[in-house]
Amino acid sequence: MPNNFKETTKNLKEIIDNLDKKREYEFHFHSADGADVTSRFGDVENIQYHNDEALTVTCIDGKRKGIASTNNLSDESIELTIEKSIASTNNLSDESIELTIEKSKTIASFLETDKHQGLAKENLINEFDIDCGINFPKELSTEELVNMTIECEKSALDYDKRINNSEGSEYAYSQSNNLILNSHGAAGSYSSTSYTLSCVVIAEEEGLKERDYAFSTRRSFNQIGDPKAIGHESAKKVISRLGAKSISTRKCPIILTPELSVGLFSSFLSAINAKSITTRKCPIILTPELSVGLFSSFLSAINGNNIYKKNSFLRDFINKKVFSDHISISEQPNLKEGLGSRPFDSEGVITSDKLIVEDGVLNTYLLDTYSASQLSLKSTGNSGYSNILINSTKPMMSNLVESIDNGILVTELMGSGANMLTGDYSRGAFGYLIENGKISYPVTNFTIASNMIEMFKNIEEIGNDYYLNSKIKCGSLMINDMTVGGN
Amino acid sequence: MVILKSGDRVERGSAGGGGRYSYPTLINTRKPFELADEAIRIADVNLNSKPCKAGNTTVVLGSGWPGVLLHEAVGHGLEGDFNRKKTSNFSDLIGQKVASELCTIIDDGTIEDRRGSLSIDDEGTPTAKNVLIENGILKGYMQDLMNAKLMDVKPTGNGRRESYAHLPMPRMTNTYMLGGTSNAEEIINSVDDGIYAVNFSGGQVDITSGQFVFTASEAYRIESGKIKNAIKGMTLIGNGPDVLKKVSMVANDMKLDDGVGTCGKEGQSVPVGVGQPTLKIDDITVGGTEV
Repeated sequence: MPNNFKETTKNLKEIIDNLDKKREYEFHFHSADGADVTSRFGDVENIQYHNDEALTVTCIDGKRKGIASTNNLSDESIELTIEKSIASTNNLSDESIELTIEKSKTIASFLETDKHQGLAKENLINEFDIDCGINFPKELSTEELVNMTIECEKSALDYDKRINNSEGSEYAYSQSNNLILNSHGAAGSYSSTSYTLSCVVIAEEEGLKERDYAFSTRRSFNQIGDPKAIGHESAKKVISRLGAKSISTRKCPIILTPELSVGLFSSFLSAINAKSITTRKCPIILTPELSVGLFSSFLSAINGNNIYKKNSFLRDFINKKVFSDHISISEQPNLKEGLGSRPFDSEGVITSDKLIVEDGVLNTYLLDTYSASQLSLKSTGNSGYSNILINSTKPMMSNLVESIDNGILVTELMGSGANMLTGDYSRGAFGYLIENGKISYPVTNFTIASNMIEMFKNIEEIGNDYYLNSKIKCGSLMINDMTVGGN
Repeated sequence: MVILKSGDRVERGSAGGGGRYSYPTLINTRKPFELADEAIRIADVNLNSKPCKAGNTTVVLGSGWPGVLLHEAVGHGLEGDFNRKKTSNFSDLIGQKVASELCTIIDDGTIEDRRGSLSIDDEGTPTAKNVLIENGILKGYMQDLMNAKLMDVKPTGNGRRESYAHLPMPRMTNTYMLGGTSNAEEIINSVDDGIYAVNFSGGQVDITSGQFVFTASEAYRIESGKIKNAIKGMTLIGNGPDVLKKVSMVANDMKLDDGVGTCGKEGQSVPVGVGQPTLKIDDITVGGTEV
């Protein structure tokens, strides 16, 4: 725990303990420092350092909520921020705090009361400087960082002479500190680190250009892997995209698959001239990265704030079947080195392991204090979510492509065509045609469409080729009966 | 944003507006009520929408907000940083034909009251009315100070940043296509079998391949020159330069959007404006659930 964070914690705790007891107060403090280095064609493109801190004060007064924040942690500034957060305008002058702002200038004067407003009161954290296995600070010199990005990019540029351009390689590091305090006794803090190395390259063949990227995000520097391997992966991916053609509209299963295995087919694929296919319904495979995206839509659909507003296609699915029997989804907030690990949620509520989906059935929504009150339920410690694991009781294979006769492996999705209210899903895609359990050629300029309620039920297989750059841990997905729109 | 329910079906509609004017200009008029009515109208249209047939077809884009397609499919590819690095689909094409001669596309940060307008950009360069594409010919890129210097051209007043904590880079202001000579009705009447897309909810582009994707929030079928039923879940997918070459009719009803656009690039968000007249694109890929 950095010393200045320790001091800030002590100072803020003292301040909140001495505030009036008529209102509810919450302090959330976050500070971070780090570096960001980008190199391109062996030269430095950019070096940035950042060192930020911010205090957000939430005040609930008479069932009105006010929020104010500041980047200035001087005593006067903190005091002013607290004043500005005070929501009630009825009795501004009689308090322990000397108010210097005019009543008419408070946001609160525009607010109606809301009986559901209130800070978290139960299951609160009460421990500072918690070690949850996600803080691994490491000092690296600027020179080391530059060299690492140059090495990463070079391995991509050297991979194939068709890779003739680059957007460079970027390294980003951040060490951050989180503190929560509220007037009901929540008091907790923890620190974490994050390291990311990425590479973006461009390949050209017959005048057509494609770009692709690879990256690795980890809690510990030692886990991000060999810079050369990341460069290599970006190179394999971009080469495999060359020579893509359009397909015709069809309905088919799709597989959403391992990013890495795509590279295995690269040299083979690039030699082939792709053909057109017709509009159809067929299975698709989504890569682990894309599968993560689909599950993040699921998590958003069961977020209490969307449920109580009835703005979710899963609003009536509690205790009902959402996925087929073989699928279960759990939240595990305390995984060592987990990208989503945290000892408490952003309201200071302790988050523990839970089974969100069991044998395909939705067990619980994800609730924060406010949405829980709206739904007459209790907070599940989900003001935000931590690590999410997607599991199947079926054998989880490393290569789903082999299990499909005729379908499409989707490696990239574009556009925002997921309607959270109706579940309607329609997105632009890039991928590979699968014939007889084998990748046959790259295809572009097509769309995949269905409804997420159907898609969730139609998840036939889940791979064990986990995507490690996200707090949602999931492998490839094979989804049946997708409509593929081509030409 | 409103949600309407009818029987088993629920659909939503949303509308918004804004600009660089004072708060009373927005709230002391009928505007908030008009926006609410518009949101209800769109939700109502969608309640009666039918699934969209996937495949290639002719698409007529409405005036105003559909200009977001230009922003994504063309605008980003004309930003100086991508062209300095030659990672854009439009790199090294100045002076060449990149669109149908019906297309003249402009980025103008000087329009009064507009969401994307600035008197000076975030590096102090005065904004300007920059012609990007004139009668189909590529005229210039949008620049900030650094990329202008490295490319040995003048800055164009497009150096923007989200806040003090971000680095400036070339960004759009208000990007739009000038009107043509047809009228909107004539364009719709000319389509035998196609789609009329009035509003879009979002889009994305890969500036290297030029590949883009858009999702319509309000769209209708066109049959024998007449607007028919509303369709749902329609996605347009194509390649920027390809699609620009397929623009076959442009109406005289150029309109800027209502002021709702926020553009994201490398993690930075800035307010922007878009606009265009009603226009026809021959043969573009449409995604939907019906085969």
